[in-house]
Amino acid sequence: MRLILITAFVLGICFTKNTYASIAVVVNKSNPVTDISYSELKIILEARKQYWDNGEKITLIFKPITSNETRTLIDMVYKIKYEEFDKYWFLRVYNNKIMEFPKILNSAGTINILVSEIPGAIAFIGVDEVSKRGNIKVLRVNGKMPDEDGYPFK
Amino acid sequence: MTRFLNPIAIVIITLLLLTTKCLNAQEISEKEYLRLKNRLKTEFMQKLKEEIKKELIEELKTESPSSQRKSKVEEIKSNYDIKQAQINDPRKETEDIMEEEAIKTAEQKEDIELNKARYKLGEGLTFGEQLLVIRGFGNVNARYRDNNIGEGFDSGNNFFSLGEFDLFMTSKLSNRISFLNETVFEFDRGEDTEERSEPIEIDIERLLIHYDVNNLLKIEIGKFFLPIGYWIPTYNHGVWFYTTMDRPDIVNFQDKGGPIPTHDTGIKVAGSALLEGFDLNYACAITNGRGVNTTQRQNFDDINDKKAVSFQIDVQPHIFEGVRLGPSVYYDVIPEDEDNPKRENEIREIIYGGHIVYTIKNIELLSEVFEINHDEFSGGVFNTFGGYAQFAYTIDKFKPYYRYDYIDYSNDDPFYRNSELDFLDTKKHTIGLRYELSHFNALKLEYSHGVFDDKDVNIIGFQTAFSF
Repeated sequence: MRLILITAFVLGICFTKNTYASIAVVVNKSNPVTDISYSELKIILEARKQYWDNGEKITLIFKPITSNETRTLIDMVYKIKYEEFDKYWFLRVYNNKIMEFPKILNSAGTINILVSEIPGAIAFIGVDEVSKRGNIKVLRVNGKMPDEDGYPFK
Repeated sequence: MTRFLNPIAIVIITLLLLTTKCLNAQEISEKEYLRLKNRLKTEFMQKLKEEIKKELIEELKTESPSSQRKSKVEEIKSNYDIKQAQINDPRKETEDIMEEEAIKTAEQKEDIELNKARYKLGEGLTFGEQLLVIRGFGNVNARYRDNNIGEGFDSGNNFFSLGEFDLFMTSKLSNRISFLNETVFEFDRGEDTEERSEPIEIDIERLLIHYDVNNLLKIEIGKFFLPIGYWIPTYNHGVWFYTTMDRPDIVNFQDKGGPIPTHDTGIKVAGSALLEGFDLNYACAITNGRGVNTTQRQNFDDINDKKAVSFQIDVQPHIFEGVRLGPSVYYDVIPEDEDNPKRENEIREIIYGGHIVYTIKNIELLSEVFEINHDEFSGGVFNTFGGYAQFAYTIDKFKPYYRYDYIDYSNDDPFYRNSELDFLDTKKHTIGLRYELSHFNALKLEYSHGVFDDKDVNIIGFQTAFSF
């Protein structure tokens, strides 16, 4: 019995260790970008770049802060506490660096639809949540697709 | 009935295993799966029916008295009838499931259409769906001090006080146009300190329309924060954003004894360029400028025709993530005050500023310096120098901090020395602790020791600051 408990405890520690979610970066099909570098993606996520090179306004779309995908982004890119995510964006709206808060939507289905409809949208959802229909495409990051080795959000 | 549970559980588990095994064994269509499910269910129910019948007969023969027996028989019979109906029509449950799924699909389709309408034409809006975002800030303070600061203040040494009640509104008019307003309700002792009249003042601190052309060009028209230094355009009225209880003395509001203008009405252009190695942010504003004294606002018109110009550059080097630094300059001609014999001349005002900020992870380091140059054109030149340095480090929900404030006014500066407000030479140390009670509520406890025009003052303060 003791052995089982110890094994369960060790396994528990192993599996509760920070594991990042696999994130697909999706954009509207009309967006000419197909490959984006991690550093440029970071600039977009920090709202330092608010327009695509073709002039379309960038609309950031996230899943809720409780989702693995958004938490992975907060850990990897923003490097702040999860509860500070709202404050991070509120400060940028307050000092008028950005016009509106990013869109945060519960359903991956709705995110897929919004990305299909908004030409400048960029969303971060689970790899298995990407709709095969609709006007969307998955971006390569640093030249890699989500299922390839070396993809940064894996 | 409990005796039936064991065989039922065994049969259910067996069925589940069988179903799983079947599903794993081969790919089947949904129709086939439902047919299989129904067949298994029918067989199971028939077996169950026989078992219940047997048990029931035995039970009625042996245990129950006649009256109880009748009611029990009726109860079991009704349950039996329901089961029988389900057995006879196994499709009913399937139909229910399909109906539920159809409703769900219809709801999803409705959402899809709504979202499509909402974002049609890339404008982000359709008629009647313009969204107004309202957020705000508030704070309540308690203070104890061992000495009054300045001669103009006449109040006790320990008191509670309401801070600003700040309503912040923004609304997107299209993908590239937005509206912003910040209205502050200030609780003050009023202009007449003895009568304590007009204790509430409503200030429109910002009212602007924002045109977003591209990364390089954003235009604001209206009343806005001036692009001077770091604190003023970044935090200004948002006390909840402040690590400390109060803003630094050098960037205090001009109607509260601050030497630098913080808001003004006019036009501002700003933008960002992402260059090799660093981000370059700029902001330039042309505004009405100051009135004849520090408290006079020029939101409606301008006493003189000379406009104020402010310009700021903010650099974010990529090699040092979290660092921002840059200079700013403000130029204005302050009109003469005909009612004040000591202010007969116009004053040319030039404010030079610089900031270095480092904010990353747990570390917050803010520092700014300003030199305010007043020239009366008739020979009198007066320089005021000031700044602050603030350091804070976050440990979980706690954030201990320290700040040093410094201001050295020119003794004979006619603009500050002939004002109804106190402009005091300041050397102040502040230590404190901020605690995040919730995501939107912070408690701050701090101690300050300051020397204001050679007067020593110790202050202990407590604040609860919130955002909503």
